[in-house]
Amino acid sequence: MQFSNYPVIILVALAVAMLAILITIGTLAVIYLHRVYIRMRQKKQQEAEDAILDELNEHVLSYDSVKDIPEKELNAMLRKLDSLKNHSLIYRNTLVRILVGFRLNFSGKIARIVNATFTRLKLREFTLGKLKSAVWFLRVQGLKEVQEMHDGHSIRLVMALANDRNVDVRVSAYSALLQLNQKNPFGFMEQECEELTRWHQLFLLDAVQKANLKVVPDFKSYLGSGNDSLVLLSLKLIAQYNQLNALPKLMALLQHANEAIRHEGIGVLGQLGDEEAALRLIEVYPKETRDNRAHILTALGTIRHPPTFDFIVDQFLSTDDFILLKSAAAAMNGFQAELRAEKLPDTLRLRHEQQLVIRHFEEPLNQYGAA
Amino acid sequence: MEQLRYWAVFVFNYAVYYYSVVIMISYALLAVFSMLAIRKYRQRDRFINHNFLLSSPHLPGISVIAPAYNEGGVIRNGVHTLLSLSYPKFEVIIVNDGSTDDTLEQLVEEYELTEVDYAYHAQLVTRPVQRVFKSRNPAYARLVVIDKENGRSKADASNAGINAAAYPLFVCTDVDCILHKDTLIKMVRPFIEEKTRVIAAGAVIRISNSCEVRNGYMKKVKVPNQYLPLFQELEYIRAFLLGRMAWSRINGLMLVSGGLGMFDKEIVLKAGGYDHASLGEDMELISRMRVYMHDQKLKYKVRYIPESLCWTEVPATLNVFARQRTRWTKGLAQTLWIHKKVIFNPKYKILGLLTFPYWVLFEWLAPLLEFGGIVFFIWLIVSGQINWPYALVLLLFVYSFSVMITIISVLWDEITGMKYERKRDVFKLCLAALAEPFIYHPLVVFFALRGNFFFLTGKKLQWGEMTRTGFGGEHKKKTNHETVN
Repeated sequence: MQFSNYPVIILVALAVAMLAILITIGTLAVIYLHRVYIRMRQKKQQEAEDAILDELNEHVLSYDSVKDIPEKELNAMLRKLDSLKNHSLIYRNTLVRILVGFRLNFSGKIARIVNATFTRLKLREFTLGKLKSAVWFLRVQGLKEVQEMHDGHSIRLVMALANDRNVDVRVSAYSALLQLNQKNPFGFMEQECEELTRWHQLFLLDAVQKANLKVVPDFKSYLGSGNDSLVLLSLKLIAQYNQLNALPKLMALLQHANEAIRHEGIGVLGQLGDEEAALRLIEVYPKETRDNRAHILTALGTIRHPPTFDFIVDQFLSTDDFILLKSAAAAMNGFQAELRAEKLPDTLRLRHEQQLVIRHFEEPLNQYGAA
Repeated sequence: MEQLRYWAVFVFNYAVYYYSVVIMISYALLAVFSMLAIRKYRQRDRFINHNFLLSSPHLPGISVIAPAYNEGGVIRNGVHTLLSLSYPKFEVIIVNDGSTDDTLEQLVEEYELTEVDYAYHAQLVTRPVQRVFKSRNPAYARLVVIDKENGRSKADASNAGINAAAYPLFVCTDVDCILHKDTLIKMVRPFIEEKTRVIAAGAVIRISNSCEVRNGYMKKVKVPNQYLPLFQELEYIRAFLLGRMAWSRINGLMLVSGGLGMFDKEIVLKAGGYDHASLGEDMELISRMRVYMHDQKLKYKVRYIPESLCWTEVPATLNVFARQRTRWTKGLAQTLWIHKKVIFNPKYKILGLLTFPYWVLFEWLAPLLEFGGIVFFIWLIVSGQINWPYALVLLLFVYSFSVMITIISVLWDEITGMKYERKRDVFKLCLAALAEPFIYHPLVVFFALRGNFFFLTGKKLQWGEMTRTGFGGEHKKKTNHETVN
């Protein structure tokens, strides 16, 4: 075969075919080796876990504090754990994972013992090394470990990461600071310029709940932030901590340009249950979007301020929009039955749709779940 | 005449060659983009803690909509699986689409259902809803069953479910699909992790044929024993992990499967819901949603996640396979025709300049060109014009590339979480990849041609019977809708 006589396209096709065959064989090899590697790693992880847990359970966790552990036993145990730690990367990571897991799930004496063991085994250095890693997800992992180990000594490194270029690293740093920085845990609310996604907000909300804060700030001070995502986060925090002193600012927020912020603000006003807020919601109702109007009606149903009932009935009777009709009916259902009987016209004089939504909310089975 | 024939052969040869080269380059690019998308997802998944989401009261509620037509064999377990999903705020809406078997009776008995007054709002036009049921048992408070007149399509039933949905997001699935318990918590992530509004999200659908399923729950994933489902498994892996992940990366997706998709209800309603006249209603809906967002000048994304969250039974016999593939091609042609204004229209950005042209040129046109190529090849052999060494090189070129892409998809599947316990299952798949171009691919091409023929001639498809093994043994059912992937 004289390949040199072949047209170029045939030679190219031949070359591509050869390359494809090589890549296929290579990929098959990778598939096989990947499997072997994963199985080996799982086996090693299990071995590491068994060995470490045996050692911890037998020599550490049965005591009230590290001081109670006899010196000889403690040294032997630390030497054993140290040798396990240096056995391989898998052993070291497993040890870190187990100790962090224990610290997260236990408090009191076990937590102190775990912390002491973590420090004595110099595992803290590995965690701090992750904080300085060039790879973003290792920095996130390091922050998680620092947070869960309640390592207050690392606070400077954590604060530095609060200015990281990667938003996931910054949010993880904020989460850690909520735990570690008792002086100003919410400092990030003044500095974050980038929009935080809903996920980031939920992540921080969860961190706030778990942080055991000694002092809860007035979140209303962040309602004026130029970062709308921080305003949304503040609103959720105000609702979570039932901060009634935020009411004046919340009502002012009903004029905000961002519909989503107004929507969240309406929800929070409903949750806080203030009667003056109910009247303010009625004032802004005509200017609002359809969805926000529905939300206002829902909020009025939550607040249940009797003077607002007439307004809700008016909306129920006058609207052709099914969403508003349903929201009004749901709101009315929150009020006392006597009031409903007094103010609502006779059911037979209502339109079919109106009768349907009233019956919907009177049906006890529709009260559960989503309806 | 001789010269004309010469030029026809010359042009056709080069046209087919370069067409193949362009397809191959596109597949190579898809492989790269999918790798990047999968890597990014896995990094976030591995290093960022998502467990707290399960207890968060701030997550958006989700309505799980599952149309059911003559699903008496699977309905009880199917609904149990859906009610067992892990998510803080969701409801399950089963739409009994005028079943002629005992689907509704089984639901009423199993879930202690009673008819209730329900504020059902027909925002999307469907066949009439006759009754709505809820359970007297608080354990099934999340369940809503809608009984409606048969609409002769899954689209009609899905639209009824959307009308009843109370939450801002909904998942559309089938009752006989087995969903992973973390389906909702994983699929909601694109909606809350992206800054740009996500209007739809999909995940990987796998094949449940030959898997061990007990009481509607997946116990052991196995590679299909029969050849037809085995080839389909390969095809699904390639389509989802290579194709859709890559398109998701560049926001060029045109399809979220009907077997499992999560949607933004507001946008679906504004776009008009599923088209019950379409044979590819899942693709058609995404196309229409995307066109709507462009027309409104709103930024959006359609996302896929590389997680195997749904297992469905695929046709194991040639008859049923034929009907499915013919309908898919007809549905594809329909969708492309309906939205033809998008093609090469810069107003629609990546949808118009890349996605739609790709689907027209490389998904719709490919079987036609391939058939033309085969006919031409036969003519060349008969007329003694074949250069056999060149022909064999070209055959090797196409074959080796095709196998390579498929094997790479299998590697992506392994990387995203080894679904098969045994190594031999994976290598069975790889062996099937060697045979696929000769055995399975010609079938796909043939039924695609058939689908195009039906589309061009306006011939209606006969539904007939479909045999499903289900979870508790074989049962035949008359069906008027299937999952379109």
